[in-house]
Amino acid sequence: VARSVLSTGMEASMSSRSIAAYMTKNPYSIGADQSLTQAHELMRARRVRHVPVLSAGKLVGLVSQRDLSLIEALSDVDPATVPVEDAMSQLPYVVTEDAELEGVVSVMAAKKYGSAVVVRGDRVVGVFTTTDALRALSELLHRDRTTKRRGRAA
Amino acid sequence: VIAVKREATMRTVEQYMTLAPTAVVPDTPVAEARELMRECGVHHLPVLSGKRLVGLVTEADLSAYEDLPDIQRHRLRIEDVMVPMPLSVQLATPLEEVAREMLRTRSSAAVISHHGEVVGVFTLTDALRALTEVLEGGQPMARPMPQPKPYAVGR
Repeated sequence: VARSVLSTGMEASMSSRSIAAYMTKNPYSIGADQSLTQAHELMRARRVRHVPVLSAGKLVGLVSQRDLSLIEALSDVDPATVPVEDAMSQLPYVVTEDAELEGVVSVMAAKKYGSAVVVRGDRVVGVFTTTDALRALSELLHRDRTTKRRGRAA
Repeated sequence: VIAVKREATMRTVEQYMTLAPTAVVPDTPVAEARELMRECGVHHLPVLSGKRLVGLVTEADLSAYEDLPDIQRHRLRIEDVMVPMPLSVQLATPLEEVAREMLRTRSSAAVISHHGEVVGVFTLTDALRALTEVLEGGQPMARPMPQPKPYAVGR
C-alpha cells in the first residue's frame, strides 16, 4: 500500500520523472544524404513529423515536416535530388535520457521548440515531441485526479 | 466550502487555450489564410460558416499545396485544404478530457466554443505550456483571463 501511494503521489514521483519514460522510443531516422522526397515518404508512412538525421550512425540534425515545407516552397528546389541535410536544422535540441521531464518541457515551451532528440552517449534513443507532451499531460492529470480522489476517500 | 474550492482549481481548457484573433471562411483564398497566420503569429485558424464551425486549417495543411503551379494554387480555397469537422469542445471542458480526445483523434488542435460561438483554439503548443505548469506542481495559474471574444471573421 505504501508503495502505491508513493508511485501516484505528485511530489514523490517528481524527482524520478525522466524524459525516457515519456519519449517515443527508437524513432525512425534518415540519412543526411537521402532526398527530401524520401523524408516526406517516411513521415507520411510512419505518421511522424520529426525525424533525426544521421551520418555514419551519428546524429547530425533533425528534420521536421515544417523544415521540408519551407525549403520546398523555394521554386528552384527539386525535392527528389536535394538531400535532407540541406533542409534539416543542424542544432536540434538534444538531451540525455536521464534528463528530467520538467526541465526539458520548460525549455521547449520557452524557446518554442517542437521536439527534443534524446540520446544515450552518441546514440539516438528517442524523440520527445509536443504530441508526447500531450500524452504526458493527459497521464499526469489523470494520475493527479485519481490521487485526489483516493485522498478524499481516505 | 471544500467542494467549491476543488471545483475552482480544476484545470479546464479555458485556462490554457489561445484566443486566436481571427477566423476564415470556406471560400477564403489559401494565400490569404497564409498571410493571416503570419500576421497573427498562429498556426491554426478555425473555418466558420456564419457562426457555425465547419473546419480547421493548419499551417501544415497550407504548405502542402505550396509546390503546386501558381495557376492551380491561386484557385485553391480554404474548403479545399481544411480538415472538415475538427475536434470541438466547450470552454469549461476539463483539460484532461481535451488532451485525451486530441490523442484519440490524432488532432493537433481542438477548437473551443462558448455559447455557440468559437472563442479559441487549444494546440499542442498550448499543451506544452500546460504541462510545464502541471509539472511545476502548481494549481492553475490565477492569472486574469481576458473574456473570450467571438471571432471577427477576417477581412
